[in-house]
Amino acid sequence: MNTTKIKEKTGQTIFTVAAVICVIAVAAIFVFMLIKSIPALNKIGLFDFIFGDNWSPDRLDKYENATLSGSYGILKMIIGTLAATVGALLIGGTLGYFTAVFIAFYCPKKLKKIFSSMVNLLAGIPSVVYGFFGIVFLLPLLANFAPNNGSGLLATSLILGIMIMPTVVSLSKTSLEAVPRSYYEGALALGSTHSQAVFGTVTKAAKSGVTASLVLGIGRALGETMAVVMVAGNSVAYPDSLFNSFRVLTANIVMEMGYAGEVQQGALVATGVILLVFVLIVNLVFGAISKKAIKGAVEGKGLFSKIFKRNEKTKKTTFWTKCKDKIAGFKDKIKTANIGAGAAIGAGVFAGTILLLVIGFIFVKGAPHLFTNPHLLFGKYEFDSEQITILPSIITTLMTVALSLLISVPIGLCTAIFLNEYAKKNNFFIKIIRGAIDLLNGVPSIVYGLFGMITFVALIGGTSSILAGTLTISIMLLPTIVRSTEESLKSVQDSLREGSLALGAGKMRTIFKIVLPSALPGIMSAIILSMGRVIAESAPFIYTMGSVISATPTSYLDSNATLAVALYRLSGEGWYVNEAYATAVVLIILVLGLNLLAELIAGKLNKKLQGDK
Amino acid sequence: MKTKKLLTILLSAILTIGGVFGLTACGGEKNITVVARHQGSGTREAFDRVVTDGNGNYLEMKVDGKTTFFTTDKADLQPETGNVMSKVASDKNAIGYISLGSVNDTIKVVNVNGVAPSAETVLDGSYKMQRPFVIMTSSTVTLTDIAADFLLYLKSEASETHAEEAGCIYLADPAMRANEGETAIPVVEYEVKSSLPSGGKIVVNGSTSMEKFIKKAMSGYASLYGRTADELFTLDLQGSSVGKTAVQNDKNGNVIGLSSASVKEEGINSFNVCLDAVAVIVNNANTQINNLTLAQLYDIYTGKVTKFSEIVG
Repeated sequence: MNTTKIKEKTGQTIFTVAAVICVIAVAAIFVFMLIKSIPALNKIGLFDFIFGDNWSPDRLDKYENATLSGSYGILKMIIGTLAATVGALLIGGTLGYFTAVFIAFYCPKKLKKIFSSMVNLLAGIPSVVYGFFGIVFLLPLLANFAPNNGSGLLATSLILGIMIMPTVVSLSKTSLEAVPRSYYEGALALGSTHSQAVFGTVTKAAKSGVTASLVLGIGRALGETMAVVMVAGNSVAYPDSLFNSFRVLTANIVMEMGYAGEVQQGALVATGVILLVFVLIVNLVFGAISKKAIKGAVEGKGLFSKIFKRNEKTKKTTFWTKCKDKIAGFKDKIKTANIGAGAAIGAGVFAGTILLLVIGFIFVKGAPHLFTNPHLLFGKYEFDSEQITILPSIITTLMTVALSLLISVPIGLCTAIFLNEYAKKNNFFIKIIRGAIDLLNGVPSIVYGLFGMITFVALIGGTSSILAGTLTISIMLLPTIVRSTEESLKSVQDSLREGSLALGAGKMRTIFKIVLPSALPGIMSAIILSMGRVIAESAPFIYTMGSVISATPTSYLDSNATLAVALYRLSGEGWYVNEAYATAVVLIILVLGLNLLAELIAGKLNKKLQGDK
Repeated sequence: MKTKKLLTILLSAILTIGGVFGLTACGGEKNITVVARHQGSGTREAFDRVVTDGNGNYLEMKVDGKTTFFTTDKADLQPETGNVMSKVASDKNAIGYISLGSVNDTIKVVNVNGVAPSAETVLDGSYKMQRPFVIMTSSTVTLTDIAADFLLYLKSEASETHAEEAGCIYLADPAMRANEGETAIPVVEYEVKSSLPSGGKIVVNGSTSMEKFIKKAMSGYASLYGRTADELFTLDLQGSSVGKTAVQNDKNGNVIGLSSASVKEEGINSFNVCLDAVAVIVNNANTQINNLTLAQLYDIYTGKVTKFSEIVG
C-alpha cells in the first residue's frame, strides 16, 4: 500500500517538475533576451531604435563610450518584415485558401489523400532548401524581366508564400471540414449548385477558422530566416519596389551577429525582442480568433461577427457599405460563374506543381552527383581538401537528433501528462503553463539561436558546440511534443481511465498501462515529426553549433555543421553548387522519409487500435 | 477519368509557366548588380574606408560624429565571402569585392587605379584596400601546452609558406605585426618538439576570410607530428567578433581566435600574421572592365553609375 503511494507521489512530482521546466524555459528566453538588450536600448533610446530609419552600426561602439558613433534604427527592417509578410500572405494565403477548398470539396476522392500528404510534405521541406531553390531557380527566372538580378520583395514573397501555404491549407481544410454537413445539404436543398453551396455557405461558416489559419501563416512568415536571407538582397532599405534589395528583422540578426561589436550585438538581441513582440501579438490575435470565434461564427456570433456587425450599424450609409454592396454583387457573379471553383482547382493543381517543381528540380540536378561522387557521402574529411564530404554533417545531424529527443521527449511527455491527467482545467498555474507553451511554439527559430548563443554557448566555455546547439533545439521541440502528446492523450476516452480506476489500478498504473498505450500513435508521430524538425532547422544552429563542415565529431563538445547548415554554406560558395544540390537531395529524402513514416505509423497504429476495440 | 483530366491540367500548367518565363527573356543592357558585404564585416570596412570620389567623400565616413555608410540601397548584401563570389560568378552584370586570398578562376579580378593587388603592391602601400589578418589568444588564462606551441608555430617563419599558399601577404616586419604604437612582435624560430605537446584539442574560431590560411597552417602543424589537422583542432568560423568573444570567454586556454580587422580589446593578446588585400571582382564574361579608379568604384557603389557602358574601362 505504502509503496504504491510513494510511486504515485514521485510520479506526480516528476510530471509537475517537467511542467515547471517548460515554464522556466520560456521565462529564461524572455529574461535573457531582455537583460541583453536593455543596455543597448538604453544607450540607443527605444524610440530611436524602433522608429529610426538609419542602421549604420559601428563595430567599435561600446557601452562605456560617451556617445555612439553608429546609428541603430530598425524601422526599415520592420517595414521590410511587414511588407514581406503581407506579400507572403497575399500569395500563400490566397493559394492556401483555395487549395484547402479544393482538397475539401473538389478533389476526386482517390486523389484526396495524395494531395493532403503532399501538402504535409511541402510543410516538411527545410527552409534552406526553399532558399536554395530560390537562388538556383527563382532568381535567374525573375532576372529575365527584373531590372536587377531578381532578388527583392517579389522573390521573397513568392518563396515565403510557398512556405506558409501548407500551414494555411491544413488549418483551413480542418475548419472547412468541421462545418456540419447539414449546411451544405441545406444549401443544395434550396437549389444551390455544388460550387454555390461551397462558396456561398460552407466557406462563410468556416470564415473564422480560415482567418485563424491566415494568422498562423503570418506568424510563420514573420519568423522565417534562412530562406529570406538567401533571396531578399539584404540591403538596409525600404522595400519600395518589387525588385529592390531589402532586409527583414530576422536577416539582420543572422547576418550581423558574427561580426557585431558590443552595442551592435545588444541592438541585434533587441531586434530579436521586437520579433518576439510581433509574435506575441500574432499569438494573442490567433488565440482570440480560434478560441472565441470558431464556434461562434458557425452560429453567427463571436468576436469577428460582432466587429463586422458593429461596422454595419455605424457606417450604414458610408462609402464602405457601397463598396460592400458592390463586392456582394461581384460575389454573386463569382458564384454563378463558378470562378471560385476554377480558382480552387487551379490552386490545388498549382500547389501540386510547386511541390513537383521544387523536389523534381533539385532531384534532377542533385541525385546524379550522389552516385558519381561517392566521396561526398562516404569520404573522410580532410581540412586541406578541396573535395567536400558531408559525412561529418550527417553524423552531427544524427547526434543532434538523438540527444535532443532524449532531452525533450521525456520533458514534453511528462508535461503533457501533467496537463491532461493531473491539472485542473482552470487553475491559474495551468493557464501559465499553457500560455508558455503556446508562446514557445511561436518564437522564431533565429531567436532560439540568439538565446542559445547568449546562454548555452557562454556556459559551455564560450565556443559553439554540438551540445549547445542540441540544448537550443531541445527547447524548440518542447511545444510540438507537448501539444501533440496532449492532443492524443485527450483523444483517449475517459471511460477507459474510469474502468481502470474502478478495477483498482492506481493513477500511475492507469496512465502507463491504459492511457499511454492508447495514445501511442499520436505520440510516435509527434516524435518522428520532431526528428524532421531537427534535421530541417538551420537558424538555431549557426551561432550555437557551428557553421562549417569540420572533422567527424567525436564528442558533443566539438563544433560542426548539421546538414541544413552545410547546405546553407555550400549554396553560398559558388564553386560547390553540385555538392549543394546533392546535400539538398539528402535533406529532402531524410525529411520526407520521416514525414511519410510518421503518417504510416499513425495510420497503422490507429487501425490496430480500432481493431482491438 | 477525373484523374486523367487533372493530370492533363497539371501538365499544361507546368508547360505554360515554363513557357511564359522562357519567352520573357529580353534584351537591353541591364543595371550593374552591386554586390557588397554587410556593415561590420572586415572586408567591407577595408573597402569602404578607401573608396572615395576624390573630394574627401568615402563610402564609410563620419558625418557629424556618426558613422555613415553610402553604399547604395540597391546593393545586394551578402553574409559571406562565398556568397559574394557565387553572386558575381553567376551574374554577368555584377561587381563585388572579396579577400584576395579567396580569389579563384570563377571570377575576374579588376585593377584599382591601375594597380593589381599583389604582395608587392600591398606591402609598399600602392594598393590601398588592405587589412590585417589577426591571431588572438586570451591574456587572462594560461594557454595549454599545445595551444602555446601552435601559437609559436604561427609566429614563426612557417606562416610565410602558409600565407603564400592561401594568397595573403606574410608580415615579416616585427613593427607591422603589432598594433601601431605597441611593442614590436618578432618572428620566432619554431622547433619541433620531441612529441606532441599535451592539452587536447585546440579550438579555432573567428573570421571566415581567414579560412584558407588557417586550414593550411593547421595541416602544416599537424603533419609535423604525423597527425592530421582534424585530430588536433576543432574549427569553426562564424565571424571575427564571435572569435573575439570566444577568446575572451576562454577558460581552458585552448582557444585561438581569428580576426580580419585589427584588434584592440582587453583580455586579448594579438598579433598581425599577414596582410590581406580586398580584390574587386567582376564576372568572367565581363571583358569590358579591366581597371576601375577609386572614383569610378565610388560612383558604382553609391549608385550614381548604374551601367557598365557609362564607364570606359
